[in-house]
Amino acid sequence: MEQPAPQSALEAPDLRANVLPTVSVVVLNYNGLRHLETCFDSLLSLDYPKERLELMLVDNGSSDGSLDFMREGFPTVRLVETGSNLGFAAGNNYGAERATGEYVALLNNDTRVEPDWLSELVRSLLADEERGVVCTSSLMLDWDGKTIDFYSGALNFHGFGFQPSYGLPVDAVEPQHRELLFACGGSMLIQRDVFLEVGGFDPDFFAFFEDVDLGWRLWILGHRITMTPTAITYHRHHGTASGVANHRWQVIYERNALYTLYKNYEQPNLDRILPAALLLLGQRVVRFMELGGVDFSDYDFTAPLHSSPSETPTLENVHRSAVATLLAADDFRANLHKMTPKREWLQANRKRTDEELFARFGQPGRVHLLNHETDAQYSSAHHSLLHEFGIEQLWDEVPKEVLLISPDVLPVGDIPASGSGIRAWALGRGLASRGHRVRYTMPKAALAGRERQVPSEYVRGAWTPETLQGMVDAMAPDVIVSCGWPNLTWLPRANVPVALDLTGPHLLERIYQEHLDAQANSAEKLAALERADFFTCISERQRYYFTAWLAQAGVHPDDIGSSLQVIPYSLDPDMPEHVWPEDWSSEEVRFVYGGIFLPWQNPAPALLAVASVLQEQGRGRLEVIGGKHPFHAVHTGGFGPLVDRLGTMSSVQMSGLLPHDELVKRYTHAHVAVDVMQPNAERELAFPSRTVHYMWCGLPVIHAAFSEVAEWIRDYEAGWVVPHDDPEALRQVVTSILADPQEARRRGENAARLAGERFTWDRTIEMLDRFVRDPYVRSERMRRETRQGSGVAQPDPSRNVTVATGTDGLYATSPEVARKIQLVHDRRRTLRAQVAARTMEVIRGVRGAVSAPLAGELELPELVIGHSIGQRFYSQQNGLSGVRVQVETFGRRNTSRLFLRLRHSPGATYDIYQIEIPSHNLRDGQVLTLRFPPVPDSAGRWFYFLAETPDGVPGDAISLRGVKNLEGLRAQRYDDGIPAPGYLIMSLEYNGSAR
Amino acid sequence: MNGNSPTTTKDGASPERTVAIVIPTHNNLRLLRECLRSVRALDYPADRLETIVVDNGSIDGTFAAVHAPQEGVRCLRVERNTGFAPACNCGAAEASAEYVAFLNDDALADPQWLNELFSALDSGGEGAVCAASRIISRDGKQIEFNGASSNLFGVGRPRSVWGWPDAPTPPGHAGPLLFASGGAMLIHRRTFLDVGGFDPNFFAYFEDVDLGWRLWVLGYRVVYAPGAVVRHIGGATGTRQPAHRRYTLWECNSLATVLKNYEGGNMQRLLSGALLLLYKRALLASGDDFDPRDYSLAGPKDTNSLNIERLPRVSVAHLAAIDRFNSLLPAFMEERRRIQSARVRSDREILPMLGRLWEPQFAGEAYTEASGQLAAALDLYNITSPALPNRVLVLAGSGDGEAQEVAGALGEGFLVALASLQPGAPHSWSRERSYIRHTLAPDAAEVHALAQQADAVVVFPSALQIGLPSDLATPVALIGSADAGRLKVAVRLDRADLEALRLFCRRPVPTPIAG
Repeated sequence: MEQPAPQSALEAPDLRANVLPTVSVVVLNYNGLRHLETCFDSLLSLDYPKERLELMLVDNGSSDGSLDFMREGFPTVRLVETGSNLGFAAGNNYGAERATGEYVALLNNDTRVEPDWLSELVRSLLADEERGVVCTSSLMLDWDGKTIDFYSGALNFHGFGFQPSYGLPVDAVEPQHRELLFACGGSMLIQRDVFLEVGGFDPDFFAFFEDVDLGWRLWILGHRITMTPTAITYHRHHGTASGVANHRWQVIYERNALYTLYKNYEQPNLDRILPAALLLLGQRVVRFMELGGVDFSDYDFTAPLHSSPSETPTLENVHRSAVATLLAADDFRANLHKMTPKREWLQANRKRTDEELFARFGQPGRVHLLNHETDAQYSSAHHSLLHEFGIEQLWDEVPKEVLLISPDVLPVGDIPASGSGIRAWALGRGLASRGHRVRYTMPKAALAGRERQVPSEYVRGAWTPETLQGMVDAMAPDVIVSCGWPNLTWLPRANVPVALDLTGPHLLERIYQEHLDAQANSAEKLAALERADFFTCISERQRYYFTAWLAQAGVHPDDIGSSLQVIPYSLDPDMPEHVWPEDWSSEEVRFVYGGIFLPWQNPAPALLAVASVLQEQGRGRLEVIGGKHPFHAVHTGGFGPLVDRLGTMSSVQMSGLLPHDELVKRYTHAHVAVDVMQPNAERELAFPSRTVHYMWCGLPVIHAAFSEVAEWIRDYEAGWVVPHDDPEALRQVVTSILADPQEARRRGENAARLAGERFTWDRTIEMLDRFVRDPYVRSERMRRETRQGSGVAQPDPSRNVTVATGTDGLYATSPEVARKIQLVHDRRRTLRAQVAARTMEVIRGVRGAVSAPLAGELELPELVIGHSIGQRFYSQQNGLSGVRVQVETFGRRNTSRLFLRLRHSPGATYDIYQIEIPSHNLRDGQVLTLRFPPVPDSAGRWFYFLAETPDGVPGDAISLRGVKNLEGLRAQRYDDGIPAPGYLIMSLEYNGSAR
Repeated sequence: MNGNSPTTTKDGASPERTVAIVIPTHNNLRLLRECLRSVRALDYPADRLETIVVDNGSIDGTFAAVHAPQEGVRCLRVERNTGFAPACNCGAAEASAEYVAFLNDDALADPQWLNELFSALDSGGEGAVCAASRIISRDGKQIEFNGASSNLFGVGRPRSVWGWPDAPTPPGHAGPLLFASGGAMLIHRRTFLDVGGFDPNFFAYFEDVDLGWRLWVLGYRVVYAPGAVVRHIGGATGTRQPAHRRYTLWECNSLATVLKNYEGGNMQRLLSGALLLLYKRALLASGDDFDPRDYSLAGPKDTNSLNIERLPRVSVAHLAAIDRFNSLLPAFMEERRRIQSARVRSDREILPMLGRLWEPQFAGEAYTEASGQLAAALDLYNITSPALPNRVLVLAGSGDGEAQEVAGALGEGFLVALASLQPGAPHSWSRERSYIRHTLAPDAAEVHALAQQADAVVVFPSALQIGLPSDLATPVALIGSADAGRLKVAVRLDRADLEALRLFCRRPVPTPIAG
């Protein structure tokens, strides 16, 4: 949607005073006395002709003396009083109705503007008016002009506007004059008669999203809106809205999103979207209730009863946002009759279809962020609704925001690229060729020391294991494409649809790299596969290989066929031109082998055979281009001795790894490529990128017969296929090429044809493009089970039933187990009652009762299944690297285990770090430490420490020690996620040492 | 509908048909034994009968106690409690008989039970595959299932409406009905399995409403067999679960019934309506546990800086239902696509089967008002009115000629019942040209029932003089300027304004009377 406006807009129109229109600047004010001086000082400095300018202060019933101040300090400013607080929307309308200018500039009171702010807005609008532009937005920066406040306005499908560039450093974007879905209500210029004719801001909104609604409405009615980045406003953050609790604003915020979508969509789309919007609203309420401490697993019919019905506490703690959001839905319902006539008028006057406008939303499928982050449960509801209700189809022509995570260096800039980097690049470019907006990110470690050699955007956007999750959360892309599963191990909350490209088994590689713990490797791999929804692999053989893995990772066998697709290794459809000699008599036949040296590859017998033939015949040359992996610390296996031997042969020319462009140049000037490896499990499954790359450069390839690509080479006669264990056959091929090099050219041209027809990204991307166009989150139920227990996913009864023919005893629950379960339930009941009582104490305390001074020890109960003890604490320094707590064993030897977890907050559902501690060796009072790599930016942040047990039952459980008063640490203790009195005994470690 | 349809024999009793009685059970051995005794006493050839107990993860030794192949009782053991619906499906799948009869483990079948069910099927017309029993309490004093109806939002009720032009006669007669109670019903086994059985994701509650609705959508018929009597002992499994868990399933399952069974277009609008009403119920269920002024920009400052409210579990359960519904959405939608692609009857044909489209799911005027407003704003009456006009109850003193005139006029376009109130009069009714006229005492239970079933009530001054039920939650139009008495919600209309009255009856939105 961010198209630059046509050239005309950039040409300055005639700005002679007599053709300039009259403009009224409307500044709405409600108790904003402290802002007025700065704001109006800047308005008085405007370079706009005074006689064509009306400055107005519309006062929304202030009681802070704003009006007196204005009368005294700014006598030339026209004062208009509304009499009471009409809200932002109606207050601005009130001003616009009373303004005298042909244009109205609406400006927040907590701003200041550049002197040419207004003349830039007017110039821009006048230039574009012929195209139907009636409104233009100012560029808003923060007060210091360092970061962007408003540059682009976007909207998700259920009515939540957002500002994609918000908070970015000013130099991160190159501001363009372009079209926008909506102008920022805080600083914009609009034709006054149009503003009034379309109804202005909707007064029922009061505040929030009225500018989104106005913008959308203007577009529907056939008008256009632009951004004028040369008109600059500085905005003081939270200057106006402060003073009222967030949950009160939230009622309006949530409601207005519903108003916006209700008024503006065409009927068939509204029918489809409104129920989805309402279901998502409910899912947000669920989340807010959880934040307060509701355990939804207790609402599951199949879960064991936490206590008997008569003893279950009847009240639950919910966060106020939950109530606010429900009230928003109810307010929407109660006021529907007010919205309906507005909707009917708008739809009757519609000039543009929803379909035309979806592209202007920016990212219609974006997940609404809760507290600035995504939540797994919420995200999966979001994506499943988009998919199941066919909503995503409404904008399937709108490009998607794709985040492509590369495991390796990408072929950008001046550095050597690897096969997996080129693979990632190809998928990204393939998607881009279908219109999607792809953002690439490669590992920061891969760029170490090479930052100057790649474009700065790649350096800025590079990922580290610590930052990847945050990057995804902040960007909220429509789809993630992860190249290789190891990336996903750093994404514990893969909350958006994830396509995972599996370019190789990646287990064998690990073993070759001496990550020898196969079991740990497999577990890690399965965990990563579970985080993806759609899979691509590189060859048919790998498809079979991965089928088994996907089944183990929980993909239903019926779905594997459709969710695992082959995308061959592919390259740019714009292929390089191969250079063939006109006359072979003066040309040496050049054989080539290129690529990174990897321990699971063994081309030695073949390369030695080729080199020796050339040596024997005294003609021809073998170029070996390669070296150690440029980024991963991978040893080179048998390559060392091979290089040594080849180095002694006169027919061989060695060179190190080359940047991609350089490598292509070498390949296009060579004549025959060699890729004959010794087989092993990895190689037999692989689809050698090396060979595709050769053919793409127009090189015919001598290839080993066992490989899948050998069939293509045979079919196209794109080279020669030889058995890997028949040196004689290879020698014959080399000899025949030396005798008739023209045959190499013929086969090379076939190779180029093969690459062009089968291995270019514009063609091979099809199946991935389909997923990206209508993406989905797989296995919602499976993910949910981690939270809700087994109750939601109902298995097919025919699979679950055992038709018993034998005795009852086979299935009976042993009395011992039953007793244990009962014990747990009893314990839970008392604990819950204690927790509830404590919570009430805390609430009462906060509400004004005086709490008694605390001293001495605090006895904490045994930590049993289903319960947690936690503490939120404040880190004063950077480099937080450990949390120490003290254990309470109740003076006995226990067998249960203990999980210690570090999270961002009590509401967080994932761990930053965790350890598991068996308790059988613990002594009473022993210090336990949860250690982790130092968190570099921990200073000034809160963290949450949590202890849980997977198997502790009363009588066999440990706990942590508490005190009533804790020195030297700002902290809040929690029981089961609910604030509780007292503290855990806790100290912190920084950069590996205790403080 | 297809080759699997049962072969209906017209000659009454059909002893050649085989039946599997499927009894799902969960830790209820004592009552189950009684239930099995009643099954053994059935007047039905034992060689045509198989009895299958589905033990849903009991830990009270049910399996060992009842698994007795030599006595014709098979016990299927499900390892954990997967719910009522999956247990029934599993029993039906394991059976081999032509028909399957579901029976609750705490119910006693009358000896003629099966014969009566079959005879209702045989006279039920083409496509009749499922028959409902009459379910009464053990002592016979209470009627638990004597007909079926549902509101627009899938909340089924075990009784039918009557006393209206579309259903004038009191219940208890054989005939078509929306659904059979899952507690005691007969169904053609192949058809049951082909249409997908009870939806396993319902776990429990309303799966029978959904099945009946689906059968009608797919072109089958469900019929009532009033002579097929089952005595329900009570103490059903569900009541052992706390209320908040039951609410979660009720709310989720009624949403799923809407999602699965309505035509495209209707479904989306009704689902939006159902969701907004669900959120309303969540708020109403929280009662006074939070102060709405704390959520208003203009409200006074409060000191709850923890930002925590305490809400009742039954209120939170509404959201647990949304959580469950969203997570099961892919499964429900898959079912929806399957059902809609095989649709035979339109919504318009099925809506009249529901009977009480606008029955509120929550007591009280606030809810009635909300639901009326919503129906008007979302144009839901445009979906329902062509299929089943609103029910209008006219209340008047007997001999009120004007009321009879108005009832006659409203009868063109609405389903009208005129209650002529006459103290002490026994209930009688007659069919007038365009309405049903009831003569009855103002304190008769039937007045109350009619008012509950009505979508709008029109009150004439002559009725006010006699006295009205005190808890009329239905939107009321008050003719003339008579004293509103105890009515809190009404619209005042002029005596002669028939057009205004029609408008009100079409979209009955109550407004509180000032003062």
